[in-house]
Amino acid sequence: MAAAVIEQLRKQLREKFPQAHAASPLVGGETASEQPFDPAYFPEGAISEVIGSGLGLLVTGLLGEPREVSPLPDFILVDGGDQFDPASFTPEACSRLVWVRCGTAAEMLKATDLLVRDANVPFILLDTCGIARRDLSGIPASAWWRLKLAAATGNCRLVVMSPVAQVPCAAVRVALNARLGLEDLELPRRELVARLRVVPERMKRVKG
Amino acid sequence: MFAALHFPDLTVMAALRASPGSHGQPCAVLEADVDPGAILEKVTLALQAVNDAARMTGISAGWPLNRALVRCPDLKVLAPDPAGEADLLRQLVEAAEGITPDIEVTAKDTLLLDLSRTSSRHAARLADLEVADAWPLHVRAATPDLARLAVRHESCHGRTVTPRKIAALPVALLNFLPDGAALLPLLKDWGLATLGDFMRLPRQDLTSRLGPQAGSWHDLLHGKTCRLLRLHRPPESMAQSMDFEEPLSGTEPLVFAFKRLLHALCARLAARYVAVKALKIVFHLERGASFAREIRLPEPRVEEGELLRPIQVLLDSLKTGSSATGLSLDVETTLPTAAQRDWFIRQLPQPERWSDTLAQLEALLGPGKVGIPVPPLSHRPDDFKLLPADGHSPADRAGFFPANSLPLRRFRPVAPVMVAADAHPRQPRPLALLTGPCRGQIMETRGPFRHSGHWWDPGTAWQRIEWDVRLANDQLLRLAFTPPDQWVIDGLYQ
Repeated sequence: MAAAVIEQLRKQLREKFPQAHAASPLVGGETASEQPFDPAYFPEGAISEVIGSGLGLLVTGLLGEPREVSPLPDFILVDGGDQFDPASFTPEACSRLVWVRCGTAAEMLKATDLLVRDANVPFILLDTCGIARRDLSGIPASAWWRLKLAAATGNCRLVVMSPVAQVPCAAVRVALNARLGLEDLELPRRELVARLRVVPERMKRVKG
Repeated sequence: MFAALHFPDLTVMAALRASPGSHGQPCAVLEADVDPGAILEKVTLALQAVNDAARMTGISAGWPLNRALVRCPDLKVLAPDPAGEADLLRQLVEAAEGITPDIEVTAKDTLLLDLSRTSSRHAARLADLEVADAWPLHVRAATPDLARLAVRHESCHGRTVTPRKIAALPVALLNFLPDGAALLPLLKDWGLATLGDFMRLPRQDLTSRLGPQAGSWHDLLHGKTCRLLRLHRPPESMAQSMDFEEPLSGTEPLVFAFKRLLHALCARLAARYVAVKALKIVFHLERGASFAREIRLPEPRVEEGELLRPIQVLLDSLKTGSSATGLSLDVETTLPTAAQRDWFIRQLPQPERWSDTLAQLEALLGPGKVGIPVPPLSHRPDDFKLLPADGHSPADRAGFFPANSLPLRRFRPVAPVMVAADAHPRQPRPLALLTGPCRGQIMETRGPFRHSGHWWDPGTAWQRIEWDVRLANDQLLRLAFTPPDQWVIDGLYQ
């Protein structure tokens, strides 16, 4: 009974204030924190890992399509293989990002360690896709644990993007599945991001 | 609290710098500049100052030269060096500026420091001040003139004196007060031996007999008058430079040199109530070469430690190739309130730490590797800019839109490949990738997209034809043909 009254009230409000009650982009009972393109999806003070195909769309989804240039960066992208392409994004989206261009796995880990400890920008994307598979497998597990401890100290969200699972201490691990074709290059980004399938592999939420 | 800094042998030190061969020997400087060869005609002149070695033989300043020569036949008589004395005094002032900006130059070898604005940690540096390989003597007291008198007596050095302690000192110290020399013989005739004897005399009677000057001395010795210092004005320029005796190559000695420069710099900043916005450093290298670095601070800074930290990071990343023979430090200043935090503007939580981290990243990765990317306005491949990530306002480059929806994972450098293509000379159509990181038959293409630029300049003109292709293994990539015959993979779409 009460639910029906509330629904009736909502309907009346929608009719009276259509702009304020416009349809939310999130449908189907999803909340913002259930979208991997919302920073809140990844737990604070922990390492998360995103694997699979369509990792570029993860960066696209996180940066979004802002209309104005951001005065301060919201994300740091530690680019292990120096493969980020600024020309694939608008200047407004790029202004939300600090791009750290690395050449080797050692540089990538050292730079990440510095940035996680700094914690001025508490969302760090670590892109390991450009690192050779042999170098990537040579990263000791202790390095990831060390980063995890640093992230916990700085209350930093560290998201590792890699082709295959490699972070043993990842609190959250999700696999992306983007079946992309040439025809997708013509589609709007919003559609592509919405189409991306996210499969949670490990969801160990950190209480905080 | 006040402190007095005193160099007892400053005159001899300056003279010895002009004639370094006399080091270690008993030396003295005469009151007037005389020709050393004509000493015999000037034997009645008094000694202005003597060094430790001469003092060990029993002579002291004020002795006539003939008497001193009798006691010490090997005495070296040096010519005064006023320029050297001024230089030593300048160094002493610079060193003292590291403790407090409120300094009075009382005599050519004595400074008075006002320690009321100085923390105890900074004031403790008094004992460690070093100028020209010597340590100046210091005394602390509640009033500046007590400190000035006490620093002339060796029993007070390194201590804090009070009127009670100063009472035991000889009355001859009044000689160092203005007009003291005129009244001192009279006081000695009265049988006064110590300052305590003078202090016990009734002030009113003393004033009526000797005048108001004696009354003011009485008040001074009892610590009843505390005058304002005649403050030494620091030089207008913040620029400082230092030449090393030996070329320095390691980081650690350079850090010490910078610490010394920052001592004086911070005092000058405090004296003018300004803060540092940017540090401009010039390293002078061997063979006359030099190179400059500028460190821009995210927020105006005045503290020595906060200024030293970015310098240390710079030194850690410095690869000069040769030793440094000197360095210069200049600063760009601003008002300390110019960049105070604003409640209504988003700011980094710890901008000074962010600045350090960026400097460390630059040291690790090299210049031009960290920043906020700005996509190009031209279609030239990989033509982007990096803005500094330390809070400078980003450029407004609105109007640029990416060519397609999927972001490219760009190969740097681009991967040259062999491509099987049809034989059209101006617009070859790719059929398969034969070499390179991605091989296989091309199943689908999108394009061609022709791009060119700078056609008006033969030196920089460029031209390329691009395709988006799908390989048999469903990889999407961007392929480019650069006339006359080069094929490259720009990157992958992911």
